[in-house]
This record gives sequence, structure tokens and C-alpha cells, in this order.
Amino acid sequence: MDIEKPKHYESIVDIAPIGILSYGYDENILIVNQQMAFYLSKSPKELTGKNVKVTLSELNPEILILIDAVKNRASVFEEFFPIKLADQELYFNIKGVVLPEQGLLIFENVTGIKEYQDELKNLDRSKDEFISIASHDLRTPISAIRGYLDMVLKEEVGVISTPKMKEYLELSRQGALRLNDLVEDMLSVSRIDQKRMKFKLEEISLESPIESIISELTPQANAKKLFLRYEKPKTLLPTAQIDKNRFLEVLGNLITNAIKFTQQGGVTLKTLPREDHIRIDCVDTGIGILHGKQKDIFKKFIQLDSSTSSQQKGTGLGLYICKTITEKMGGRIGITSAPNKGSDFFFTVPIAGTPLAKRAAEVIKKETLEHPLQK
Amino acid sequence: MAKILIVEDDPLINKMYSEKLARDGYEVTVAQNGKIGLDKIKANPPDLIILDIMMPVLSGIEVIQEMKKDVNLEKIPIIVLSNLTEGPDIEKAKKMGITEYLIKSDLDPEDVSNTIKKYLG
Repeated sequence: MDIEKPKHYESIVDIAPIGILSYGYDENILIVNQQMAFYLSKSPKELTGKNVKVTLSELNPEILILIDAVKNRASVFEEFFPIKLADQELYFNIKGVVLPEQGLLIFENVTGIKEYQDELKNLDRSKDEFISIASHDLRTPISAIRGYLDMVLKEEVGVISTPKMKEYLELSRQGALRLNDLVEDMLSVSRIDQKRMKFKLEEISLESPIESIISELTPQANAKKLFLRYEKPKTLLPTAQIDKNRFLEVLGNLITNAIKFTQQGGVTLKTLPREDHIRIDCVDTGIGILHGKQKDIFKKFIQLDSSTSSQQKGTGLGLYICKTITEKMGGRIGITSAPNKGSDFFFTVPIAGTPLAKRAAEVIKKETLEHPLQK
Repeated sequence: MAKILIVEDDPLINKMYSEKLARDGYEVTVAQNGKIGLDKIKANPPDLIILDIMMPVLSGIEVIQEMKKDVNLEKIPIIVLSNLTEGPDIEKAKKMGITEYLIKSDLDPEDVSNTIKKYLG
């Protein structure tokens, strides 16, 4: 039986649906299976004993680099290596393995997978383009709808004669504003997905942006008889590295959400400096979120409670946008919450000059180079 | 009565702002693209211009460029009212010395009218 074994293995190698080729250190081919011989349009017999470099350079001269790497005792793996066979461009994953006294090359035809991947990438790109074009074209008519409705509601062109009329007009305007928010968010998401979102990092104190957003959103809180306040830390805050407008986008989004889901009490902002980052907490006294659902809320298009009334409904994109912006700036975002106990949404930003800040700046710089502003 | 020219290719938006501003006491003229707008600016310089960016024939950017070349027109306040929220055109417009850059979908006609009041009031 022992004598039969190698022969048995040889026939397995021979009929395997991948190309297998081994060669000695004199660079002469030792074993070549049927599939490999097929790729080379010759019979195994013809190929045995031939110089491996001469033979394979016909497929693609760059294979020689792989052979040299194996010669230097490195295992190599080349993904989607292009090879021309009978005027057809095929793609192979090639594995080079160092064996005692010989080198082994394995050729796997992955043309189908490559085509599938390319198609997926194209689909993804056209989806992104579709969203951004559709969103741009939606914005103008939405501006018109909300604008005309606003003028009618302010009775600039005549009196609204019945309360029902007024109610319906107000509902129409709310619908238009919601549509507007959705389009804005979809544009942000498509900017994120296409890596077109730009960041201008600066080293500034968080105090003045926080104060400005508090004064901007206080009317919104007061309209629901809620408080909105900032609890200053006892020590001076270190300088942060942020894009101020993006920072305000995240914080504004978290505060607006908190106000939306709080019926009494209010929203408190806190800042806490840590080793290399500052943590910003947005604490509300609202409805809270079940523990099991907390990890989902930062995903795209997630709306937690479908029973919430239409006024409370957002787009399901806000927190996804917050998460992406926060992570791009070198921070992270999270939540601690319990139903009816309120929620604490927090995010972090790097302290200027720390390795964390430098890493974030490098990543953003690299991305800006790879994706310069189009058009 | 202060004269305002609105250069905007979308008829719905054009009508919305022109009627609003007329009600607020301005003398309003409109132009459906940058070319017509520039001709009207040259023929009868207004006190303020509301200008869209993405327009056929001549874009808002080109209108600003032409105006800044002309000593008689370079000082007229320009309020850009566009739906463009990204891209090099925004920076270009700001560098050429426009008065304000407003995003259409963020605002109601009244907000725009209030902004104009700052410069013509």
C-alpha cells in the first residue's frame, strides 16, 4: 500500500481543477498537472523538464517576480493576477510555496469572482451617483414647496379662512421640512460613502462651539418646556483637534435627537478631559433605549420605534452620519441608556498634539489626496 | 425704491422670490439664466443681485467674474442663493468677494428677505 500512495496523490494532483506546477532549484519543471498544462496549451509531457521562467513568462512576464520571491524562500500570494489565455483576459490567484529542494506554484482561476466584484463596485458607484443626483434635483422643488407654504401660512397673500385649512397647510409644511431633512441626510451619506466628505481640522477650544450650539438650540428646547444646559468641567478643557462645523453637526444632531425624545426635564451637556481625548456627553431625561437595541442605532436607516408619532420621526441617518464624522476625526461614539431612565449619548474628540490627533490628521490628509474635489 | 435683480433658472423659485420681494417693497426684475442676467445688470445696474450658481448658458460663477472686471458693477452686493453645498465653486464665489452665500433649501423666502434688508435697509 505504501508504494501505491504517492501514485494515488499524483493522480489527485493531476485531476485537480487548479493549476499546479513544481520546479527544482535548477528552475526546470518537475510536475505539471493537466489543468496547468491546459493553461499553457501544451501537454504535461511536453512541459516537464522545461525551464519554468521561460515557460511561464509567456503567460505574463511579471510571474518571474513571483518565481524569484519563492527562490528567496518567501511564500507569496498574488491576488487577481491578469493572464492572457487565447486572447481572453483571465484573472488568477497565484500561490507560491517553498518546498524542500523545490518551488510550487498554484494557479486558481478567479475570473468569475473578479467580474462579480467589478460589477458590484460599479453597481455601488451608480447607486451613489443616483442618490446624489436625485437628491440634488429634489432639493429645488422642495425649497419651492416649503417656501410657498411658509408665505401662505404667514398669510402674506390673504387670510386662511378655516382652522382646518390652517392645520392642513401646517401639516403639508411639516411634510416638506421632513422631506428636506431626509434629502440633506441622504446627501451627507452619499458624501460619506463616496469619501467626498471634507474635513478641515483645527486646534481650538470646545467651549465656544458648545456655547454657540446651546444658544442656537435653546429655543427648540424651550418650545417643549425643556431645559438645555452645559455643565462646565471643574478644570480648564485642553485644546481639541476638530473640524468645527462637523463637530457642531454631530453635537447638534445629538441635542436635537435628545429634545425630540424627551417630554419633561431636559438635556445636559458635559465635557470630560481624558488622557488623549475629550469626552462630550449629551444626557437627556427622555424615553431611553432598550439595551439590546443600542448597538443598532448607529447603523444606516435604523429607526427604533416605528410607533413614534410622525413629528418625532427622523430619517434614520443622523446617528450613522454622527458616527462616521466622529470616527473620521479620530474619536468614537456610544450610548448608555435604559428605558424610561433617559439616554446618555457620548462621543470623543482627540486632544490637540497627541498621537491620536496626529493619526487622525494623517488619515484625513491621505484621503483628501486620494479623492480630490471633483468637478 | 431699491432695485433687485433675481438671476435664477428654476421658474418656481424665481417666481417665489420675485413675488415675495415685490411684496416687501422692492422693484424686482428677473433673469432666467446668467447671460440674460449679465445683460440686464449692464443695461440697468440694480442695487442688489440674487444669484444662482448652476444655470444654463452662463453660470453664476461666470456672472460674478464678469461683474468683478467692470468698475461700474464690481461694488453691487451679490447674494448667492444656491443649492450647492460642496465643491470648488463655493470657494471660488467666496474668494471673488460676494456679499453672502446662502443655501436655498435651508431658508424660507422671509429669511432671504431679512438678509437683503441688512444691505438695502
